[in-house]
Formats: sequence, C-alpha cells, structure tokens
Amino acid sequence: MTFVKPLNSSLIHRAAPGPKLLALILLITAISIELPFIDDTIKPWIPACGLLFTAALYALAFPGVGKFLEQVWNLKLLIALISIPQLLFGTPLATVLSATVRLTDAMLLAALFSLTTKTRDLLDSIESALGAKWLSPLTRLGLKPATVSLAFAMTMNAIPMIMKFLNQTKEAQSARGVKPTPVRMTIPLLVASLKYADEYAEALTARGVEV
Amino acid sequence: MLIEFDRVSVAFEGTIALDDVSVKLDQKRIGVIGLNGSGKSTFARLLNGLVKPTSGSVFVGGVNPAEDAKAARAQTGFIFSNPDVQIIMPTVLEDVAFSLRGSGLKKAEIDAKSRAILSRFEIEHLADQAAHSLSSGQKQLLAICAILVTEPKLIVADEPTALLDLVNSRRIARALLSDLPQQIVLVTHDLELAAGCDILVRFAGAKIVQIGEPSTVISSYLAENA
Repeated sequence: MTFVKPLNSSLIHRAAPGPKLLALILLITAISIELPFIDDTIKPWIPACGLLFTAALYALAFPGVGKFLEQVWNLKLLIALISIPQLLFGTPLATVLSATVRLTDAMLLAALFSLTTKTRDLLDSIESALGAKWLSPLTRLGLKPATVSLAFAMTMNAIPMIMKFLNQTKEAQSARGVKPTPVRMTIPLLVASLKYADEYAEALTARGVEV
Repeated sequence: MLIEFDRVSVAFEGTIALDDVSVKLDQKRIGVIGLNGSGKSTFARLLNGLVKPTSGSVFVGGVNPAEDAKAARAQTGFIFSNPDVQIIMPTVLEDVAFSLRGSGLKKAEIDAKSRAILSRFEIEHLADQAAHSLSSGQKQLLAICAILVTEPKLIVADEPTALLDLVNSRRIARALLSDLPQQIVLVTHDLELAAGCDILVRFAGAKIVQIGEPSTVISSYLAENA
C-alpha cells in the first residue's frame, strides 16, 4: 500500500473513490469465487484472465508494465508463503496455481486502488457512504462516520511507524550481538507500539480529536 | 493572553508533579526550563487541558481548560517533542488540511490555506510527499504548520527541538521565536533557545523557583546545577 498522493491523472486516478471501491470489491469477489453458471472448460482460465485484466488496468493507470511488475515483485514473499506450503502438503499444482494467482490478483487490485486514490478523498467517501440514509440505523447505534474514517487514516499511518519500530528493534538487538528473531522482537516491539499509542492519543487530543 | 495559575497542584498515582503553583504570565515568548521531572511538561499540559489539576485552577485567556477543554484547544496549539506522533494523515498537505476538518471551510479553501502555511515555512514542495518519509526537522515544521493553520492564539511547545540536530533546532527556533505573531510557551532544555524568550520560568521539585530575565535565570540554573 502506498501513502503518497497520486500525481497521475489517468481515468483510474480521476474515478470517484466510492464507485472505484465498489468496483474493487466486485472484481475481487469475481476472481475469488467460482461462479456455478460458468462452464468447466472456462473455469481454469479465469484466474489468468483476471491477472491479465489487472495488468491492463495498471497499464491504463501507469505508462508501461513497470508499475505492474514492481507490485508483483513487492508481493514475492506473500506469493511464496501462499504457494510453498501448499506444494509441500502435496496439493495439486493446478490448484496451487489457481489459488496463488487469485490471491495475488486481489492484492494487486487493492494496491492499484491505493496507488490511484487520494487518502483524503477515500476518507470523504467513507464518511459520506456511512452517512447515507440507508445506513442511518448504524449511526443511531453509535457508529460515527468521522470516527470510522479517522480510524482508517490512523491505521494507514501506524503501518510505517510499526515498520520503523521493527527496524529499530532489529538494529538494537544486532548491535548487542543478538540475532533478532520474531520471539525476541515481540516484547520490545509491543512496548514501543504501546508507548507510541499513548503519545499518539495525547497528540490527537491536543489537535482537538476526541479518542 | 493572560495565563493564570492559582495554587495548582497535580498528583499522578501518589507522585506530586506540580506542587501549589501560582503564577500570572502575559509575555509573548515565555520560556520554561528545569531538570527532568521538575514539573515543566505538566505545567505545559495544563494549558490546554491534557492534564487536569488535582487542586487549584488554571485560566488561559479567561478559559478554564479543565472545564472547557474544547475552547482551550481551539485557542491553544500544542507541539510535542516527537513529531512522529503528531502526524495523523498520510501526506503532508492532508495532515495540515486535517486540522481544518469541521472548520466549515470548503475543500478548495482548506487546500489553499494549507498550502499557504506550508509555503510560509518553505515546505510547500513537500505537500504531496508521504509525511513519514520526511526528516525529523521537516516533520517538526509540518507539526508546526498543522497547528498554525488553525490560527491559535497561544502555542505551547514541549521540547520541540529535543530530537533535532543543530541546523534543524535553529530552524525550529527561528520559526517559533522570530516568525510567529502568536504568544508562545516554550518548554526546553536548550538554553540557547531559552535565551531568546522574553521571560523564563524555572521549575525545580514540582515548583516554580524563579521567574525573570532569561540571562539571570539561566545563570542561576547553571550555577545551581554545576
């Protein structure tokens, strides 16, 4: 996911965030489920077609295939994590390929959405969608659209901070001659994150946001 | 604005953070110095209601922050030492614009106002960058912009240069002490920065022990802690 405002002005960049989000959900749903009315001879080709369609969307948003390939490369660990265990457990290759391509495609579509959508526009859409009349029962139950969009922004912001703590913890442990492992890093990371959460809450309050 | 403390004490879980402090201050640039744990940050946090007095009362421009935190925060901007925790939105422009959400301004007006403040602090070219990718000095300038865009009457800065190098410290010092029309309460360990204030308040052991000309207060602070 990117946190930088998109500078491009393609059709995908200019599309309103609400319909774009809806299109994303529909596309991901279409590639994730096996529709019963589709012919069996076509079914194996759906994941590959979906991936080609996603590549075309990337080409529409960014010139060339560079961006698409860059995003695929960014997902290499995830692809390995999905596919290798399945292969080790003896899952048929066709099934592994189908599942991996579907998941990769879903991740690529989500990345395309975040690459081409201004955060503020997205938050505005979330707020206006949640403020819609047909969702008013949720609002009456205490769901505040502004709070939901703020939580979304805060989540996006927390990711680079957690990554920063992770690197600091790794460096600190390596500097003391300890090989950083997930088990050794858990407590320091948790402590740093909790301290950050406290300070962040105080800063939010100071900026007039009630949390 | 008149800052008025009347017999204010603050205790956290049995520890006295501020002990029976009474003071009236209306200078434009008020510096606050003292050792760690002397009560400086608690004093600063009382000004916009982040901390409430255990006893006594605080008034800032006639507003009691403990009773009307919303009004207090509307007139008082707070700058923390760690700029990372002050960033709410992913990009620079969005973070400044966030401060104006709910202000009743139109989106274009919010953008224009946000860009104007970024331009004033010479970071408009960073407007579309990811806020977390900035240097510490740039992040602190962003935090200042995000506060100033709401046009508060008072700025409270709690060790704003603590995590910065010399160049960035001086940049922030210039931004806070020379360029601002607002009244400022500056909590700092940086005595060079403190020397640029109109008046210094020195804390020790949860009490104010000295108020006066910066040069006089700094001399006695250095002498006592030599």
